[in-house]
Parts: sequence; structure tokens; C-alpha cells
Amino acid sequence: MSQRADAVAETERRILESAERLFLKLPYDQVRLEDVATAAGVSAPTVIHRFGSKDALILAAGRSAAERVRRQRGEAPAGDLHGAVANLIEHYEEWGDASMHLLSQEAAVPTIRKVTDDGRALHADWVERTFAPWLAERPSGRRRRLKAQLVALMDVYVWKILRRDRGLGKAETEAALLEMISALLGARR
Amino acid sequence: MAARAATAQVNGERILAAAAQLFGEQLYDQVSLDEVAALAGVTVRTVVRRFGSKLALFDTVAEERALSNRRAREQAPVGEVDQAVRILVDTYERWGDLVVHLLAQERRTAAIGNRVAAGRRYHRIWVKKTLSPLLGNMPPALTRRRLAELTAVTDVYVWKVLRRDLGLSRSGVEASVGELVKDIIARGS
Repeated sequence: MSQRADAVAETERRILESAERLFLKLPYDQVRLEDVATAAGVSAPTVIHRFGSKDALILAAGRSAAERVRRQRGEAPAGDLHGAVANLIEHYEEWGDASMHLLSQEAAVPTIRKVTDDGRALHADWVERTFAPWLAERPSGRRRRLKAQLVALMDVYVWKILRRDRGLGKAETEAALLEMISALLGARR
Repeated sequence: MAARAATAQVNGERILAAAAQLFGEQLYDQVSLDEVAALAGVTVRTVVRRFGSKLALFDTVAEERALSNRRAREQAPVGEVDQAVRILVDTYERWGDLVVHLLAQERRTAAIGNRVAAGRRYHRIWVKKTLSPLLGNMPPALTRRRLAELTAVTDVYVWKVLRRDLGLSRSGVEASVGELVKDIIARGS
């Protein structure tokens, strides 16, 4: 019984892994459940039996990825600017291009919008928790703007512009974010 | 003769307006010349005779938008952050949603990819011309990084995050971006 449960869990894990890889590589409409099944070494009916539909599969893959991301980003200690930016850069080096791939489809694919909405909420929570000490010392009128500025500066879009469009290296992207954020936190206290 | 020329001009304008609307609402692949013609109240033959193809029609619309955008941006005096940001936010209020819609398609559609690449180049040149005199003298590597930072915080994506994702007012966006720009400039070398 427990061996069987293990095998089921293992199959599910492999399907989610393959699904994640394909959804992050191809446009949504080009991902076929057959290909997910083949990559996972199972049959298409098995995928459908476990997850129901392509929409349900991407949501499940999104949840499992979000859990890993939350764990990794949760390692950033609150009130430590260098630690926070280093944590963020690690996250984007792994997830930045994948996030851009999903964001480019969110307007056209409602299910992807759910995944990206969750990502945005996670990012906003992370900013609120990690920068709580700085936010707390601002009067409430300034707090909302500071939080918005922090969320925007540390958004994947800014990383993408610096790292991909402008071609800064990883270390220089980190330096750029660090100096922008420390200027923001140091000014208008 | 004059009446015929006037009709032709009105038709041309109506076709362009219809095309602009549809390219702004739908994915490029989904826009059909039939629909453009129907919306403009002309026949498809008229659209084809006037503009040739969907690609040519898109290019005409995009070129017109790009020119209006550049004309507006060229009003920004060199070295005046507040005015530059005001003008920038003006253009994003008008075309920001459209640009974000096009950016989402840049990798799928070559015609759009070329356009947004040109737009990015223009943005970078505009930032350099308008804001880099404020940076003063610093080592070239640092200038390059600060310009990358200025390019990023003035990008349409930052407007999109602040205005659409976080729901700031227009003046809130202007103040937020203005502060981010000034922080980068105030940092010195």
C-alpha cells in the first residue's frame, strides 16, 4: 500500500516536473498533454486521470513551483538590504526568463493570469515582510508610495531590462538594484 | 475629382483608426483584414488597395504612433527631471497599455519584435540625451550602469506596475518615478 502510494506520488511529481518544463518553454497553446506525458514517461490518459485538464495541470504545476519559490524567497531575512537583494537576484537568475514567458501570455490566457497573479501577490508580500522595518518608520502617507516603488524596482521587469536588454552581468545587476534601493530607503525619511 | 480624393482620404483615416483599435485589442495573429474593413465601413478590396497587406497596415499604424510618441517626447527639455517625467507619463497614459500589449507579442510576431526593438532603442537614446547630462563626470563603467538604471526606472513596465498592478494615480506614478530618477542622479560617483 505505501509502496503504491509512493509510486503514485512519484508519478505525479514527474508529470508536474515535465509540465513545468514545457509550460515554461512553449507558448500555452503549443503545450500538448501527450508531450507532457511522454516527457514524464507515462500515458496521456494517466495525465488526464491525475490532473483532469491542461488548465488544471498548469495550475497544479504553478502551485508546486510557487511553493519552491516561496521557500527560497522566504530565506531573505527581514531588514537586511544586501541579503534581500542577493536573494532576489538568485530568484531571478533562475526564474526571471520563465516569469517573462508567462507574463507575455497572461492577457491572452486566463489560466496563466491566475499563475502570474499569484506571483505578483507573493512578490508584494515578500517586499512587505522583507522591508517591514523601513516601511514602518514612514508616515502612512509615504508608506504606500515607498512600498509601490519597492515593488516596482524589484519587479522582474526591471531585472529583465538591466540583465537582458542592457546586458549587465549578474553582479552588476545586483549592484544596480542595491544602489537604487538604498538610495530610495535613505532619501526622504 | 476633389470629392473623390476627399473620400479616399477619409477612407484611409477610417481604416487606420480601425486597424489601430483592433491591433490594440487583439493579438496580431487574430486581426483580420475583413474585420478591419468591416469596422472601417469599407470593403476588404479597399483596404488591400490602400495598404497592401496586414503587415503593411500594421507598420503604417505603428509608424504613426511611433512618430506621435517621439514628437511628444522631444518636447522634454534636457536636464529637467520633473518635466521629462511628466511628458513621459503623458505618453504612457496614452500609449502605455498598447505598448505593453505589443511587448507581450514581441517574440511571437516578427513585425512586432522589430517595432518594439526600435522603441527600446529610442527610449535608451532619449534617456541618454535628456537625463545623462545630470549624471556629471564619472568613470564610464559607472555611467553605463547609471544609464541602465535610468532606462529601467523610466521604462513603460515600471509605469505598468505602478499604475495598473498597484493602482497608483497618475500623479502618484509621476511622483514615484520622479523620485526614483532623482535618487539615481543624486547618488553621484
